[in-house]
Amino acid sequence: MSMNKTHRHLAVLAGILLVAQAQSAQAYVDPGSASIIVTAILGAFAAVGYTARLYVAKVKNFFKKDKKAGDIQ
Amino acid sequence: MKHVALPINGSFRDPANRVYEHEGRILRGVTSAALENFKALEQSAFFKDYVERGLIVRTTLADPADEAAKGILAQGWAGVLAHERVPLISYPYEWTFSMLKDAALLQLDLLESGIKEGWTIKDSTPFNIQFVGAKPVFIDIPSFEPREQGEHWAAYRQFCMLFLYPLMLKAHLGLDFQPVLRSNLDGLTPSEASRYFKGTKRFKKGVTSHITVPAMIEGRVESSEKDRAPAKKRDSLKQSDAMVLGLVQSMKRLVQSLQSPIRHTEWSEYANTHSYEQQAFEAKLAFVRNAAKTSHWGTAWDIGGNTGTFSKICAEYSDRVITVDGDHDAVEKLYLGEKGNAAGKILPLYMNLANPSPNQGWAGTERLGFTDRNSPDFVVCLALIHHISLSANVPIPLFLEWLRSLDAKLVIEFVDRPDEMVQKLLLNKKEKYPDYNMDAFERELNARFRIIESQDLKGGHRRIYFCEPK
Repeated sequence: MSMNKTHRHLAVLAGILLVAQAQSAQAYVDPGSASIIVTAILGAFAAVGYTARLYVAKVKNFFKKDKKAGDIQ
Repeated sequence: MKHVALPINGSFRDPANRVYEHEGRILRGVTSAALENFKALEQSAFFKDYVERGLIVRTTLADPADEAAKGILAQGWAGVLAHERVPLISYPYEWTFSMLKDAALLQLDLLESGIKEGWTIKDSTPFNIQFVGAKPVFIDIPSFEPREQGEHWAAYRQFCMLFLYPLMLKAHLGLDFQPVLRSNLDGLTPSEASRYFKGTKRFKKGVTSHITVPAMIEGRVESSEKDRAPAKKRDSLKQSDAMVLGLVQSMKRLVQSLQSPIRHTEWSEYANTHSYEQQAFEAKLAFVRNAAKTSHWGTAWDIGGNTGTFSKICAEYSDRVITVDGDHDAVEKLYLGEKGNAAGKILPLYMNLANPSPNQGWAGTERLGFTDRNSPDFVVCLALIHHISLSANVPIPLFLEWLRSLDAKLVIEFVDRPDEMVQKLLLNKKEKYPDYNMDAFERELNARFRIIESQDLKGGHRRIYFCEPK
């Protein structure tokens, strides 16, 4: 469910890239509400790299163990 | 009223706790929820590790029998924490680029380690970090809270406003962030930051993700909710650990990559290019050392201390030293040198002595001025007065009055008119400062201080004095 929302936000982003003009802050709108959307978008991108790094580390570790076993023999 | 602990002015924003001071001790009244959090936090591996490494301030539960703690409990708090006192207080607008960067990296390190053990840090402000010597230490213990499953990085925006954008201003645009932070105690909003990064500057590292995108989204949220339109309640979308940790780690990589190399300024190379010959310089070093070793000082100040040559001498005879200079790269050089020093006593600060940090924040007392939050026992003021009087136009009596108000023993060097540095300063000025001369200086000095020792330097062009307040 959350991924659909994220996809929607990404589509919006792609469509309006660099065109919208940021408005100055109005006192009653809590900036935190936008922050939830921002961290979701940035987090979605960052998660890709994070997961990839995790797998690379696992693969490296796997090969290290194998090499050690080979040396003993 | 002997055991009444007084609340500290700057500590009021978090309703779950309040910091008090009593006879030099730092105590914190906390609610029952905050107390339970602390008890759990104390047991966690990452917390113990960071405390051990001196990166989180040592904190214990206060003895309930303690009189001051009892007084705090009587105010309605459920518990009292006792913090090890950080002896010198400084603010991010007094830090150099690398100091703010190291503070940011500490914040991110703590956050990442915490998240991996089920904790989060609910805010993200450099005011929660203090420097002990040249080492950043996290001081706001109640900021640690148990993390809910799927919770996003709630303090991301605050991190950007107070850490990232100031660092980016300096790294990408060469703009000093200190005046910006001094005026904007909450930092820069994404919208404000975006105004600095127009045109091709948008493509600098991290700008699109952390300035352009947030500014755009905030703009759209505001325009849909401004004036009479109702605010939408946005429940935190559940985010996976990969998303949250991924963002924190990518932020860490971004901050690591931000650089602001030291340029060769008139002052950063001063230790090599000053106008002293070796013999005269040795004489000056000896005089300062002889004055410093007359006592053991709690706090020493080296004002106009440049890259800290004389601060290091003071450090041998003091518990702690503050080096203040108005040249960023000189202070940065000192900081980078002191960083590796585990037993470091020197806190380098970047500040214009003719305009030191003022009292500000809520009611003008939330963030104290420089001289209100730190006070010296021993002050070293070398080769500074000609800049204060001739460049900053502060007359000698006024400057000496300020030094006298510090109520500390003083080593001061007067640079007389014939000196080539004074000649350089006066060369293209219309005003010739007739009141700037050694007789006038000694008269003003004698009116406020008792001279213990003095010596000619550089063949009489300069004179150095060791004196005590009258």
